[in-house]
Amino acid sequence: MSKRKNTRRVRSTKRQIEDVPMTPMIDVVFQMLIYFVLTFEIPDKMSQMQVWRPAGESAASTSEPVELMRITVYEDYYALNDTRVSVETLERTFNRLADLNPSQNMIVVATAESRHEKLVVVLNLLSKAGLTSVSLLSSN
Amino acid sequence: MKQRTVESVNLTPMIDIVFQMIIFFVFTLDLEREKFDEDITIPDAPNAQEIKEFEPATVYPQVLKDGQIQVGTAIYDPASFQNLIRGTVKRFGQKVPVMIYADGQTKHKDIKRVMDICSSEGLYKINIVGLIEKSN
Repeated sequence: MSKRKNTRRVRSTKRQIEDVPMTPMIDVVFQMLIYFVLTFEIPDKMSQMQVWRPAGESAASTSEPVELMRITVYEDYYALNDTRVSVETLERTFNRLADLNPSQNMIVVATAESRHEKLVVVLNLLSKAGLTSVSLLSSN
Repeated sequence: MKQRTVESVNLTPMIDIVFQMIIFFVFTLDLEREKFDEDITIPDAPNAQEIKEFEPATVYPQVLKDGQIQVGTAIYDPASFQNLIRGTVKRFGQKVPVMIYADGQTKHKDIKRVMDICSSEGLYKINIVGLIEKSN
């Protein structure tokens, strides 16, 4: 009789050691998963356009040689060497210039009141044509 | 008569999947990514050079529509911004890139002010950021 009692006690002790509750761990794991799912963001694809600024230059110089291409960004329109042009004309011109000399330095002059998006349109077209040497000047 | 016990659903594979997902999110988590103002609508520039990696010690000035200068979540007046740039140059040198995030409707004179401040402190790697593709 006493032997049977001892066997039962040993068995119940062994079961207690083996049973580790996993439920709290699963709860924490789900909490973490919810946090990550809610904070996950797919970043936007961005591009960069490097511009060179001549040292000590803050206004467009008028003594530049005529051969250099100067694109001026006004509030409402663009000008190529002081001639008003459309965006399509700019694109065609850039492509032709890139065919002749891809490393040609392009001068972009932005007026103070012009919007940033108009400048980015020009820089984007220059990048598209492969003209990466861009100097940016600002005019009043 | 014997009572049949209800068959319990085996949850072990679900736990495995949950752990796989956690590992995925832990590896793709980017806590150091710079936070930008959501009000800024960056102009499209799909043909410019794509930014693959953000270099360390880069300055990210944001120029809002009204001309205010913001770095991170803090608004700076021109004098404070110049101090910030000066401190950055002192610490990291003049090779620090500047990535200007500006709204499409921002006037060029406000962007010029930011560029002038950076140039005056000796920074020459000035870039204008455009948008290739929006994620959502």
